[in-house]
Amino acid sequence: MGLSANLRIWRTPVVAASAATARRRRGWRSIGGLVAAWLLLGGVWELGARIGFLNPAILPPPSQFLPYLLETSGSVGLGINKVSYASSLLETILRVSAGFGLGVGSGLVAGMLLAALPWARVVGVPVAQILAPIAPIAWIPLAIVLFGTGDGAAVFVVFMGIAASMTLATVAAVGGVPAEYIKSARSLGSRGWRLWLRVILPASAPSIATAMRLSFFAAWMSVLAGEMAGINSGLGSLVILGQQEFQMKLVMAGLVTIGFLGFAFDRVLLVVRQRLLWWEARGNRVDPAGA
Amino acid sequence: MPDIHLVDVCRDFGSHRALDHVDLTIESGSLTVLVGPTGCGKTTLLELIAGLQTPTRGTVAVDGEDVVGPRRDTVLIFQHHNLFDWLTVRDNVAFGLRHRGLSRQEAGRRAVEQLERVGLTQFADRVPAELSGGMRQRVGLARALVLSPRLLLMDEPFGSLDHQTRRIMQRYLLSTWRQSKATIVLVTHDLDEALRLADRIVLFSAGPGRPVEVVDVDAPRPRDLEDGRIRQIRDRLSSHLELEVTLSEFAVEELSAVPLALEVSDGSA
Repeated sequence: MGLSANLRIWRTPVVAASAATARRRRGWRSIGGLVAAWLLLGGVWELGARIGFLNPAILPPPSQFLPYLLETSGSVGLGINKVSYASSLLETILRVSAGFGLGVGSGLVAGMLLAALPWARVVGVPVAQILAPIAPIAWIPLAIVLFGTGDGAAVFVVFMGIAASMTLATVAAVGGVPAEYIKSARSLGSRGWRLWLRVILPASAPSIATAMRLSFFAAWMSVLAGEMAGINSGLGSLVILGQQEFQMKLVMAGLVTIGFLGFAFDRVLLVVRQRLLWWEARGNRVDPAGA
Repeated sequence: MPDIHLVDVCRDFGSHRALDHVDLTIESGSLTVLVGPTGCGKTTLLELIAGLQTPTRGTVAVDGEDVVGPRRDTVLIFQHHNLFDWLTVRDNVAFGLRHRGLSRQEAGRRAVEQLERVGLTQFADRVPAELSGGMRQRVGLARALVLSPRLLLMDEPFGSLDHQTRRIMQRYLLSTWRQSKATIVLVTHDLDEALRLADRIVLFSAGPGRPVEVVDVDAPRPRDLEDGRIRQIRDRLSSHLELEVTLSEFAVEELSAVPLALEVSDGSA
């Protein structure tokens, strides 16, 4: 009896420690996979250029565009029209962050309101359903007329690209909360805003977090498409300029940057999800990190 | 004094009538089990008593008061999605206490006390996903009992458990019921479960839902289902239940094609 009691005391921490070790091991493995993927892509590219399989004039390999980027700081144009890689990058990041924040934030608020108010849903959901399928790029002409060719237009395009679909996703997420949760909570005395805050919000948070990640991809495409098609600044515009001046090293550097940044943003969103939805990582659930 | 009183209760969902002119009295401190085919309105009846729905006509009264919303002395327990995934076991048990105005510390302290009583202290910091099905239902029960409810409504609470765990949970429920002296209304489609637990079994008919038979099971627990008196009740109810299930699964025109096995079933769940 005494022995088994002792064993029980020891058991829990050991299990917890091994779970933490397993998580850490998974973390290292995913970082290793990431590095391997980049090395593989860069290696094939480099090799292809060396043996003449890929034309370096059109597809300059990393060994060419990386030093180019460091030497020239990726500038194109002359005098007042001169734009640098770093400033374009910053511009795009700020635009997508602002558009994403506004779009997701208003989508969440609008979605929650529509979910809470049945009479508003009758009109609100069809409106969102009409706005959601409009391709972000289709908003560019309107955005430029409204805001000119600067940050305002870019943020507007991103916002319009994700707000409606985020609204619909939020309505669906709240609608997908099992009725038993809400009934249990009401039976235990929860109601009004506390029911929303303590039950409906956490219960719908996993679907909302997934919708946010998908929204980020839409936002990232929107801002780049906008910058390539009329908003003449930022990373997207830099790539187009590189093409127009046949600076393929710049085009390639731009493409790699777009891929890498999109990936990095997505990882940040994933880490935020794991922190906020901490309970998902525990127990016998499938780890959503691989998704 | 009767604890729950349903008088001429009807509940419609659109054109569908879930409950049809139900009159039912459930005595204080008793353990009543509602049995019937799926979709016969058993769950609706529980939710009416819990104040989560309102009847289309008729009245539902607990302790002589009309039920107009969730009552502080009533707790409802479900089969699925009973515990909140995003709260630890301790916070799940403290949930109802927090909504009764207790501070975080006080609610947490009482939750741990309750967990001690049911032997789950060492799981206080786990989340529901880390628990087995039986343990989850025990925590669900602890979460209800910590509020000292006078009325416990259970909707197929052990439906998703395996046979052995279910038997253990049934015994566990009986012992906690004796201690708490609460009135329990439990819904199940398992006749054996009803025979093991109930003071009174109410058999429901589907389409539209209404009680068609009320049987008092006046035998000491734990019960031997092979006991003569229990067998008699089971035989009577099982053929009746089978007929109800058949009627709810098949259209009247099909019935001639369905081999109605109205002889005594072996009763195994």
